[in-house]
Amino acid sequence: MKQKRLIILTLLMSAICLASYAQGRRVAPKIAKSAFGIKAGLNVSSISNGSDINFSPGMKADFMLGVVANFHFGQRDEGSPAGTGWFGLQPELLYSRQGFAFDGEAISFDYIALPVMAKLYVTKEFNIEAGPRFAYMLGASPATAMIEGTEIPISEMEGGIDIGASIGAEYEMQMGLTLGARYTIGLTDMANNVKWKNNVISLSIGWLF
Amino acid sequence: MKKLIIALTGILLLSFASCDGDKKDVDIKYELKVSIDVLDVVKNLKDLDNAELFPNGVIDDGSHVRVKLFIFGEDGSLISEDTQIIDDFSKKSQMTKSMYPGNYTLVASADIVENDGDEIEFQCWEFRNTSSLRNFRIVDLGKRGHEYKAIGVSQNTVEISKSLSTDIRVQPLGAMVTFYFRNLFVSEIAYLYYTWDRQSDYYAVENETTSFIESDAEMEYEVEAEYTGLYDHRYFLPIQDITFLWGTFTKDIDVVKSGNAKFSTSIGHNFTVNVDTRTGTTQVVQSTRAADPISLEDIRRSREMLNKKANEKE
Repeated sequence: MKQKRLIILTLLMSAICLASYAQGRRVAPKIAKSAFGIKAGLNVSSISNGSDINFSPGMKADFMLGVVANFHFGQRDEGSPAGTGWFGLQPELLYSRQGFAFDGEAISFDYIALPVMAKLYVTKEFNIEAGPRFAYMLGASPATAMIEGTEIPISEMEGGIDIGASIGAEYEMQMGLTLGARYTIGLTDMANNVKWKNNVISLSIGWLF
Repeated sequence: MKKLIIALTGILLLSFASCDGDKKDVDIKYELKVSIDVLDVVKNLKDLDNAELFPNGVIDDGSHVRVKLFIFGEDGSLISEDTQIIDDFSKKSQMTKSMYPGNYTLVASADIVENDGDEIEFQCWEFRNTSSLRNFRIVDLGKRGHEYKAIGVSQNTVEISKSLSTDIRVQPLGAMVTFYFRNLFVSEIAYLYYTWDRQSDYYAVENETTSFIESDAEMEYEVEAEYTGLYDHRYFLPIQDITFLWGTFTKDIDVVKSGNAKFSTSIGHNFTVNVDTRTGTTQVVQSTRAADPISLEDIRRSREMLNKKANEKE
């Protein structure tokens, strides 16, 4: 149910962006700039623990990398070139390693993640972004983790879908370099009986071609 | 490239959208910490002077206490077992297991063994059919272990839905029976025998009952005929209607006196079988002491009798 709401939200955001695009069309026929690019960066992650297992998960540093498609809609004003408007949309396809630390041991989750970020360009280059993040757990390690007397088969969580919400900001330089920061909070539990939700802070650097 | 990214994005979005939001359960195991206290097994084992046979649970001859833990699932099948050898009954055993959520029956036992590391060299009890609670038997191997035959067993049930610590106090399974002979007037007695009708049995864990598996009326104990006092003590499981038999004989194996008594043992209660070879009376009392101390006058008369016999031989 929560997942469906998020999908609707995503579609709504997309609709807003497209509406902006359509509005732009009335001003000028050539109104969007699209680019694809690559990005990589640092993940600092943990989990929020809502399970019966009483412990405090620590932060874990890891990485992410992937490709992005950037659509910047509209014009800032009539004289501006296309793709300088207020709104944009950026779907991404990322490999994201994240997890948490406990008792000196790193618990890692490998995701293929699909954030779809709606962007509000405060300036032509700086934007704030928000959107859903869909992720599929490719792998997890170690196979089992002993946490406060509870043996959790981490590897059994593989194949799970994680749905989260992301907010952040990104700076897109004219030359193509991008610098971004993003916070993603998981909205779904990792398993029915393991009430863990992802929290990830990502710092990224990228290039839009 | 852009088209590829957009296509992939679309495919993944559709895939995610088609996913069921329901998550699966993973097979979590919870830690079960079991602390096993075995002191009660020997706490009430006392001799005729009311002194503990194992003072404060200490065994002073190098034997050790074998503590066993069996964990059975709801269907009665064995899930896990563990054995620890500890120095004596004053020590506690700590055992830790990882268990799936569910209801379990824990069976803990303590008995005395001689061992060389993990290898058991002497034991009075054997654990048989341990793979199922229904058939689980603790069998008397028929050895004359005296107080070293003491054994305790406890059964507990636990429900595991998260990590759990539980304490088990293993309770004695049987009791000591002391055979005490008042044998003061021994003028014509050359031999003294005694026996009881059954010597081997087992404890069925699931039903917490004891049953006989063997009868043995052949095992007779010949003892010093000119001796008065404690002749024997044995550890018995709770048994109904044990028949105790004794007899005194001349050197030509003519019966001088004989007697018998039926008695039953129960968990934690010690008994004394008092025999008066002069009158032939046999009395069983639940007690930690003999029925009556022997008086100085009795001892004096006994010595006179023995001296008289010695003079006759000369």
